[in-house]
Amino acid sequence: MAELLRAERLVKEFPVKRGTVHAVSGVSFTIAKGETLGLVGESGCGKSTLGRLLLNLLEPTSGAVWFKGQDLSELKGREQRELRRGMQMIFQDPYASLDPRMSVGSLIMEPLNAHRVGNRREREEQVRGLMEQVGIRPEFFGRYPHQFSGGQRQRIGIARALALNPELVICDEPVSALDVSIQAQILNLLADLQKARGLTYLFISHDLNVVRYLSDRVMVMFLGQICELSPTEALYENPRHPYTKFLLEAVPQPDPTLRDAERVLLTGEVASPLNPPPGCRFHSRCPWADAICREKQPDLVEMAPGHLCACHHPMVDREIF
Amino acid sequence: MNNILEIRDLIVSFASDGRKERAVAVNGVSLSVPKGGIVGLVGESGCGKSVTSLSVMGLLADNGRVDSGEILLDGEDLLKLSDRQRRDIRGNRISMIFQEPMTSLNPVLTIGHQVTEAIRRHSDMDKAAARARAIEMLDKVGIPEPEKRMGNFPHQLSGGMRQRVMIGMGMAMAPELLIADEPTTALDVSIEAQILRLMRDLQRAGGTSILMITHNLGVVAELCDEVYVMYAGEVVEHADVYTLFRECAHPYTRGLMASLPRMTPKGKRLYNIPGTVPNLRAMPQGCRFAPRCEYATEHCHSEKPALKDIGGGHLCRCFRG
Repeated sequence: MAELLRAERLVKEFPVKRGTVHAVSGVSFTIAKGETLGLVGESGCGKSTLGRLLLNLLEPTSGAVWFKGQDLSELKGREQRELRRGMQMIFQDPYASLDPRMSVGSLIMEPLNAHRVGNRREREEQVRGLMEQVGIRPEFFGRYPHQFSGGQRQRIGIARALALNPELVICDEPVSALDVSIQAQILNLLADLQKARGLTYLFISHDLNVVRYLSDRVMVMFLGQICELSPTEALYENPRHPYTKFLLEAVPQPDPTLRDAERVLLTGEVASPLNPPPGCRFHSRCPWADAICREKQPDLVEMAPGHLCACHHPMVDREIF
Repeated sequence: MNNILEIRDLIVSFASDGRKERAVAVNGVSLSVPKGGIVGLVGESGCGKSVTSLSVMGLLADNGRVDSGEILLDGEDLLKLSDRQRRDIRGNRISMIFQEPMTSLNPVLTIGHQVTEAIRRHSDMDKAAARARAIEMLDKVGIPEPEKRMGNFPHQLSGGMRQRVMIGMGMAMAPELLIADEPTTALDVSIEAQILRLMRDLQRAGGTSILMITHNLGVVAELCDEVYVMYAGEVVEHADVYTLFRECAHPYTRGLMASLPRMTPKGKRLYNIPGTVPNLRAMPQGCRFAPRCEYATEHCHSEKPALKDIGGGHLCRCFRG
């Protein structure tokens, strides 16, 4: 598959009073055209910052983002804006991401106005078409966000993101604020749109079940770094990084017969990206950490075809729990 | 008396400005929590599960009112007590923990101050004894270096730590009933798993009964003995947790279970319940779920089904049985 996006040694640091927040520390990966790459990790692991770096909403401290073969940071002004039209974002909170004083029609039309697409009538036509595609009745053009439910607002957010016909859509926790039955509606909609428009998704979520359902490949982040990146089933069936294993173990499964299974839980707190420890960033919580883990950062190496893992002692065909 | 809590035919309504008619948020709910048991109350936003629990606490908003019904705590009707008597029961015999521990803790007072005050408010311990008890509780809920943490302010703790503090505070008086309203929804999975385990350990050790309010079926399967499923202000199904997950009977419960991504392989469409929850002020005439139900007949639209026993205490509100 053709490469659509490439992140090269992306680093984002935020200087603060008490040191430096290492939000993203040397992250490299590619996304192929038409695939869905899932991105999971806990609060503070840098997954949202990474999404914003890819869109150039944040400027990286170092490293580069290539989109359709062009280095985003090399481009200036108009050219960069043109290239960025091809990547859009869907946000978590459908209540906070829509301006309450704008009608639904004008919200969806805003990106078309900003990029001066067609004349007024053509834009309106396009907005109605988009509304239909995401399942909002075009008659509601003049209504306001508060007149819609959370699920419908997320549909509006999706229509807005699709207005400029992007190739890549970065979905940042798009269903975490929604009820289960509504969540399924939105996930189905995202799948339909992907099929109809050949979209590529980066799907950021803390919900491992949702990510498994949607993704072709999954990337796991811990404290600003990739610890594992793999085709979906291989990751869930045969995780190599201890952190991935712990995450999978921790998810409460909707099956009470599994409740008394011996599960090993991660102890301790999610560590702070403020002045992270040397060596492997997971070492302070990892039961198998030894001297080398405390000193040297592990490289991301390919353990099986397409299955990358950054660990000095990866879990290879051994029972550990 | 085998039940610590028994709610009988509870009806709760809310006034809203400019309208004569009150909106009925809880419409004839009956449920019981056995002594030493963990009971789940499940449903989506607006189904009335939180209003039910706030009624037990006597913490309804000013425009809310219990119109009828009984709330028996170990046989004694809480609704017949004075405000003062109810205050004494809150914190002493019933405690509640909420979703967002940051908003439940006072940001300008130290953890130690708040936990100690809570203990003194409900006991005749002197300051030193209450402080010792507070440290003991923080230790019990797994807060490292509890003595040092006593001097911290809430913002200095992580979300998981804050929720531990809330649980410690809630358990300090060894209440007979702990009401937990989405206690892990705001937490990361690894922390969620720790908190769930903590709640189970405390319940096993101290015999506290728990009413767990959640939308997360995984959490229910992990922790609860029995489950009540609520929809649009009413209980639609009740069973022990194993029966419910093995053979749920109500089309709404079935829809909820089916829309969980875990059950569906990638590429297949997720089941979704069509439509949205009905408006409190425009409830359907017959079965409240009928407009969204694929099995609904004319009968369902005109007449309301009763909650009936379909075998061995498994209750279901559906004509199909």
